[in-house]
Amino acid sequence: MINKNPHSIDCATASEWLHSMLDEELPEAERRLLLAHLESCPSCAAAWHELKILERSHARLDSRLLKPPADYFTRLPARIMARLESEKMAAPAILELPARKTRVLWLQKLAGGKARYAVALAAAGAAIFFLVRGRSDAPVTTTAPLQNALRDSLAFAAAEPFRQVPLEEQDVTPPAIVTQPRKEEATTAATAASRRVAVPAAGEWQPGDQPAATAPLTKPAQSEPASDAAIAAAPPESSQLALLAESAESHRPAEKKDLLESESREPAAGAGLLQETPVARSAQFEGVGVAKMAAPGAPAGARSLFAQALRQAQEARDEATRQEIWWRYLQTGPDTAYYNLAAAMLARSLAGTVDSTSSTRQIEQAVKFYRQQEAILAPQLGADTFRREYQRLEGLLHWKKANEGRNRPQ
Amino acid sequence: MPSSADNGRLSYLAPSPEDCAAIEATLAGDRHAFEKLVVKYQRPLYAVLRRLVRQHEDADDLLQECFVRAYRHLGDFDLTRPFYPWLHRIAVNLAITFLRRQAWQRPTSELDIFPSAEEEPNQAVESSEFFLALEQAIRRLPVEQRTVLLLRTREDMSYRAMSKMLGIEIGTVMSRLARAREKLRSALRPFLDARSRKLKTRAAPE
Repeated sequence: MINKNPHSIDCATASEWLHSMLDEELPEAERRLLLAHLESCPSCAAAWHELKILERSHARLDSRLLKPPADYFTRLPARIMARLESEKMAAPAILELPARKTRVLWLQKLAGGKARYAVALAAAGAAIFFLVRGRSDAPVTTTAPLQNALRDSLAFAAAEPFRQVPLEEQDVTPPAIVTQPRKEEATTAATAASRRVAVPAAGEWQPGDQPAATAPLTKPAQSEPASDAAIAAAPPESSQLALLAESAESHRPAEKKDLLESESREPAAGAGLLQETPVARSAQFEGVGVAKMAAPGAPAGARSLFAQALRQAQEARDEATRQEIWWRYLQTGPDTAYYNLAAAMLARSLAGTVDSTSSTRQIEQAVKFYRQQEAILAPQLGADTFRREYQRLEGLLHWKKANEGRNRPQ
Repeated sequence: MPSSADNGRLSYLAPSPEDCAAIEATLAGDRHAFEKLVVKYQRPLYAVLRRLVRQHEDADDLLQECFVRAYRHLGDFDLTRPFYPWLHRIAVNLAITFLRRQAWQRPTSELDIFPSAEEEPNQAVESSEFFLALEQAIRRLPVEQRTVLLLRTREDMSYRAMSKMLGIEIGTVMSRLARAREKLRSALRPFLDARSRKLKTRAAPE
C-alpha cells in the first residue's frame, strides 16, 4: 500500500488494529482510519472478513455445548451440600494469626547481617519451587513467560536476592536448608535467626508444639477429593516435593550448596537432579505419605509440616486456597523452621491478589499481616519491595474505607 | 437471576438483600442458607465453566469446587458488593488454572471434542466439519494464547479485565489474542477459502 494520505495507516498497523476493532477496543479515531484503509485494501478487508467469520463461529460453537444432562441442576445443590457435609466443613471464618509480641524495625534489621539469613532462606525457597515447578510445568513454561510461571507457583522473586548476596559470601550455611533432625538441634539456625529478629513471648511457642500442629494440615489434604485427584494425576510432582524436603534436610551441606548455586543460575536445569527415583515412583501420594517420606524415622516435625504445606499450596487451584494454606501453616507458630519462608510466600501471594476489588476485611487482614511480620518480611522480600507493598496495602485500605463511607446511605 | 458477569464491560449487578441475608445466615451457621445461593447461581456459573473447559464432567467438577471455595471463603466476602461477580471470579480462576494444568497433564483427545448426539442433532456435515476443525485449532493453541482467546470470546472480557485477572500487560493480552487468531486463521484456511469462493460465485455468477 502506498500512503497518499498522511493520516492513513499501513497494512501492518491495520492488521494489528483489526483485532482491537473486533474486540470493540479500538478508539473511534483509529477506527475511522482503519475503516478507510479497509475500503482501499482488499487483502486487509479479506482478513477482516475472515476474522469476523472465525469470531462469530467461535461464539456459536459455544451455544451448542452448554446444556448439561437433564436433571443436573435439580441434583447439584444437594450434591454440593452433601460434599460440604462430608468434608465436615466448619462454618466459614477468617483465620487469625497468633500475634507476635515483638516488633523490630525493618530498617534496623537490614542494617544488621541478619538480612542474609533471610535472603538465603528466600533463595532456598525459590530453589525449591523452581525444582518442583520446573519439571511439572515444563511443557507450559517453555512457552509461557517467566512471569506466568512465577505467578503460578508462588515462587517469589528469587533472582534478585541471589544476585545481591552470592552464596560464597554467606557467613553461614542457609539455615532452612540444613535443618538437623536430631532433637537437640531441632532449633535450627533459621529459627534462631527468626528468634533474634522477633522474639516470641516465652512459652508461647515450643518446638514440641509442632507434631501436634501436623493434624490440621493433614486433615484437609485427606478429606478433599479434588486435591486427591490432583495428587493422583501428578505423582512426579508430589514425590519431588518429598524428595526436596528430604534433600533439604541432608547432612551434606557442600552438595546442598552446589545444588543451590546451580539453581540460582539455571532454575529449570536443577530439576534433573531430583528426577525419577524408585522412591518417587512407588511412593504413596497422600499427605501422610509425603510427610513420612520427607522425614523418615523422624517425628513429624518442621520439615514434614513444611513439605506438606508446600505440596498443598502447590496443588491449590487458586491463590485464595494457597493463602489459606500458608495462614494455617503460620499458625503453627514462629518456632517452625520454615516460618520466615512461609510468611514470605503468603506475603507474595497477598501482594498479588489483594487489590481494589478485595473486601475491606481481606485488605485489613493483609495490612495486619504485613505490619505484624515486618521484621521477617522486610528482609525476606527486600526492604524496598516490602515498604512499597505495605504502603500500597495501607493506601488501599484507606481508600476502601473512605469509599465505603461514601457509598453507604449514612 | 443474574445474566451478566463482572467482565469489565457490563456493569456490576446491584448487591441483593436476599443474597446478603443468605450469606449472613450461612456465616451464622445455617448451612442450608447456602443452598439457596447454589440454586440461584448454579446455572450462569455452569455456563461460564462449560464455555471455558468444554467437557461437562470438568465443568461439573469445577462448579462444585467453586461453591465449596465460595463457602469456605464466605467470611472474606464484602457484603456491600454484589455476590455474583465474586463467584464469577472464583469460577474463572478455577477454569484458568484448569486450562493450564490440562496443557501438560492430559494430551488432547481427538475424540472428546465431537459433539455428542444429544448436543448436536441437526448440524449440516460441512459446517460440522468446520466447527470441529475450529474447536481442534483452538485446542492446539499454546495455553496462554488459548486462555486469552477463551476469556475474550467466551466470557466477553475486556482487555483490562483480562490483564488484571491474568496479571499481564494489556499489550501482552493484545499480542496473544492476535497471535491466537492468526493461528486459527491459517489452520482454517481451507474452510475460509472455500467459503469466500462460494460467496464470490454467488455474488458474481459467471
